[in-house]
Amino acid sequence: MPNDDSPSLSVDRRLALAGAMLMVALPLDRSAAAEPVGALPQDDAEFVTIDGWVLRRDDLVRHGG
Amino acid sequence: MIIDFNSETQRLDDRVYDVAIAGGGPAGISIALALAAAGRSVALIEGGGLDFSEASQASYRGSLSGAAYGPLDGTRLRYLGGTSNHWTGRCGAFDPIDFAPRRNRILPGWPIGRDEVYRFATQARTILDLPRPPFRAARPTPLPSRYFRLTEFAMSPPTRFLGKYRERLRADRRIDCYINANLVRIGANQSGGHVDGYDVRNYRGIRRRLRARRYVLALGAIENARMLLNADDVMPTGLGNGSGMVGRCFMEHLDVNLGSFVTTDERFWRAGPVGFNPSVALMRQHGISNGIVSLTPSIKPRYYGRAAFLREWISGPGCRINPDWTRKITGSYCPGDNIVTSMIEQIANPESRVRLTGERDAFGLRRIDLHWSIHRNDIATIEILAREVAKDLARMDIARMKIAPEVLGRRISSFGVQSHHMGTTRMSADPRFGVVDARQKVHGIDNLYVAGSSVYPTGGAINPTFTLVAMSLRLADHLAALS
Repeated sequence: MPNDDSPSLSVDRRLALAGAMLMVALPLDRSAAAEPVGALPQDDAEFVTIDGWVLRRDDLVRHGG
Repeated sequence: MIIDFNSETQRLDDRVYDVAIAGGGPAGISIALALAAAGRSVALIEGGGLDFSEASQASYRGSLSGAAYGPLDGTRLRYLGGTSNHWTGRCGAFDPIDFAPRRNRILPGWPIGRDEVYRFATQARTILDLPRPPFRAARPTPLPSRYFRLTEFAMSPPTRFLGKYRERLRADRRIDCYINANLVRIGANQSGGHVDGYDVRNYRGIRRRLRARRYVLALGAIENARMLLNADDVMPTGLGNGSGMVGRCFMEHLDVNLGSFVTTDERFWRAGPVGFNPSVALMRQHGISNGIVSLTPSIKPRYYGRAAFLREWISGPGCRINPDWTRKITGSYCPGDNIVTSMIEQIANPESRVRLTGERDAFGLRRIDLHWSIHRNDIATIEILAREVAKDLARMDIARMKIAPEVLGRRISSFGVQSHHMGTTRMSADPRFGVVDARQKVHGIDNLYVAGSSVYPTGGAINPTFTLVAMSLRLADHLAALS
């Protein structure tokens, strides 16, 4: 059963969109692309520093009571 | 053969060697053996003898004027085999990122690539008795991290060059290894562009000239610079110092306690300690240097230097009775403190340097002053690495880390060191930014070369010996082709 919130795009339009996203993701500098740099953290907001302790937000839920 | 220069000095008078090497440590011995194997005649001069002596070691004394550093005669050994006589044997290779441009650097990096530096890696492994490649992490399982990888290394037994190579040095008829033979002057022509001899002195005051077609300095990062600077009778600022770079960019690996940690996944830590290296992406994102962050649960404290025995004796019962008091008294930590240690790359900083003082040693050479300087970019690397490791420990849910206040606030006042002396005659294609060229030949001098970690333009985050042996073999290959 289809999800009611799913976008109603045709298969062709979905393929075109995926192609465009791929083009955006490819770096222009080919030498930079050749270097395996790896991923960057995107989750900084998930951590808090309290009195020097670097904790996860869910640590506070678990232990902070 | 091995010749004691204290009793036999005449031999130098009627000989011209293909190559004269000053310094009988890992670099000098590796070059001598490789050149002899290629059929070249070699004179290897070593200031010390076949064992430690106060008379030789005293030449290493110097003063300190910058950031606190250990005594200069306490971190290296001046007799045949050099500092390999007391090294621990940890070996590894520079990372590919260490050879790439970095935005936190002041000066250009390596003028040669990683493949070229490690062209003789296989032979270096044999010399240092290392297992077959690749270098590996100490843990059998991979780290479940996208932003850090495990530090890869191997342990040499450790190879003691004196014990391993003494017989070969004695038996090889192409090598004359002079012990108790102190280099006291580099003789050069009037323009300073050609070396015409090494003046060598024994402990009885007798001095002779050693002649060769090409000359190598392999005395260690502090002494290589010291010898060039002392040659100011030919050139006012010393040999090879037209751009004022000799002695500059002294680098260490910074050993800073980043904080402490509690483990949250006992199974993970049962497999042993962890050394973290940042990913290329993390280093590029933050513009930081390389480094190793080490976590060892329940680490045993180590004591060095004066009163080490007393401090260790106090710490045993002291840590059980009153840990806070014991930490203050011993200046160290207690078992179970779970401290986070580090080995951080220091950028090449011209303000961090060795220079001559007015005081002279027993051979008339001026002693040096080490002005060790920590750049603000080094402090930034330390703080950012600590934060990123702390986040990653929490992300992987294997530990939680408390970062030391002075690290968080970038107010670090004291730095431990690894006794890894690097820089001071750095390699650079452009003479304005270095002392030796890509072949390790001193800029502007046609027959003088420098070997050892003093030629490193950057220090990376790995112990320097394996790389300096590999580069010494590369230099020997070049010299053998010329001779």
